[in-house]
Amino acid sequence: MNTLRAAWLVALKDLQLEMRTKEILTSTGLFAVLVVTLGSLAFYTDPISSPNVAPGVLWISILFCGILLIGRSWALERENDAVFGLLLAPIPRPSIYIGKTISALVLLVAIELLLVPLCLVFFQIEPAGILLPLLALVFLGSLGFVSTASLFSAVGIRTRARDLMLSVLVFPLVAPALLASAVATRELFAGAGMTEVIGWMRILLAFDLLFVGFGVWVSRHLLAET
Amino acid sequence: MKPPVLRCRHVTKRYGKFTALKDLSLEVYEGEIFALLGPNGAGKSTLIHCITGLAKRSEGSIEVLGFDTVNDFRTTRRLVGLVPQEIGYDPFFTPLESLMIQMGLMGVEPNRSRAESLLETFALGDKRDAYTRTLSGGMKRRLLVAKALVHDPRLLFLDEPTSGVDVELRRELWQEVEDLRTAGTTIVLTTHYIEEAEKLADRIGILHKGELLLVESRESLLERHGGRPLEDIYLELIRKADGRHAA
Repeated sequence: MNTLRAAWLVALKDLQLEMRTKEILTSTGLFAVLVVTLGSLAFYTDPISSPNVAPGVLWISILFCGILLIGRSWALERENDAVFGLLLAPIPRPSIYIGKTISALVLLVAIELLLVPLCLVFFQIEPAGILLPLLALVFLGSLGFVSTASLFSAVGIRTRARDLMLSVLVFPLVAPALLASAVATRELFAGAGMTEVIGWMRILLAFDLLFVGFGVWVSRHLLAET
Repeated sequence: MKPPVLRCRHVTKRYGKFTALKDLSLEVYEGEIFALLGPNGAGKSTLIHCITGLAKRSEGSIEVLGFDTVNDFRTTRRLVGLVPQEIGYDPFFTPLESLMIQMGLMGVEPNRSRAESLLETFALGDKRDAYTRTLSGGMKRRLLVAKALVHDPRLLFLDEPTSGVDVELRRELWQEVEDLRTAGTTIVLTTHYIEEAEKLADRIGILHKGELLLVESRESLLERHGGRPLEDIYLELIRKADGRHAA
């Protein structure tokens, strides 16, 4: 079985499980909505200053929601030793990492599809002309974040300090991508066009390629036999 | 004698400074039930993990049907099945779904009728659509055996399959092990229940502190010791080995 087919099976298993329980979507989705709502109530002053505040609220919400989501996704494997089924299978180890990253990304994007319009409404930002670049930006930022967080969650399978490690290592590593995402989002909200944020998108794309590639390479060792 | 299904040669496994397996050599032959006896911490699970790919041996070689478990790991993982000591399961999948998913992961085309047939074999047919978390401990253990068999392994490892189960279920599992052997599956069983080895095994190996103290057929072992209970023979060997270690 090739790596991508095996990764798809792993992702499908996670998504089937989530469709059954709706545990991750409900808990992290509600949390994300709460952050955006509180942020808009706390920081909103007027339509002119709101484009400066909204990107921070949006990305903080995506970041916290993502870390919860990925942590829970791997925790489900650890609880009940379900991970044995994956480790015993004759599949390449990176396919477990890729599959977990795909499923986490699908779930995060599903939450973002609710979060982004909510943010635009709460901060009174005109969506015309920015929606597509904004969604592309959110996708690219999320991919970099999810691929990094999944990698460190995989480490957590064999360590007790998994939550601490996830927070301490992931946040500094994804900081460049988050900064690029937040700045590009601010530019978009301030009325910039696609051509003006394309540079930021290239940075994000480079970051994504670097971390997905690094994740695939490292995961064969992280998830390897002890 | 038939060719070995499993061949371990001079296998050593170290975790840092601790040596869990010491220069272990062992062969298991087609169609037999091989019982690996040993106290807790003897290295039974470590050996199984080295063979099934959950752990990496430090030295030596391990072959399943002639394929190396490291260099040909995809082939050997298709040839072996493992029923782990701990009950691991996906709580929100049904037994039928669990088997179908496992088939996919093991590289077998998911086949509903094959999954249903396995569930019937292990008396789980009427629970096929129930959530796994609602099954009793015994049912979960039987589901684990069914999961380990989805890809028709040539060699099945049962890691302490009756640990913590009641007498009735233990007898049921013994019958299922016998049936599997009759169907042609080679079985390696680890246990610290001497009675289990005495009842099921064709050959017995005794592992203690990472060393294989003895490998012998059950009949000749009992005969050689004048028909003494296996438990006495086992304890004598363990004490002798402890004495050697202390000296």
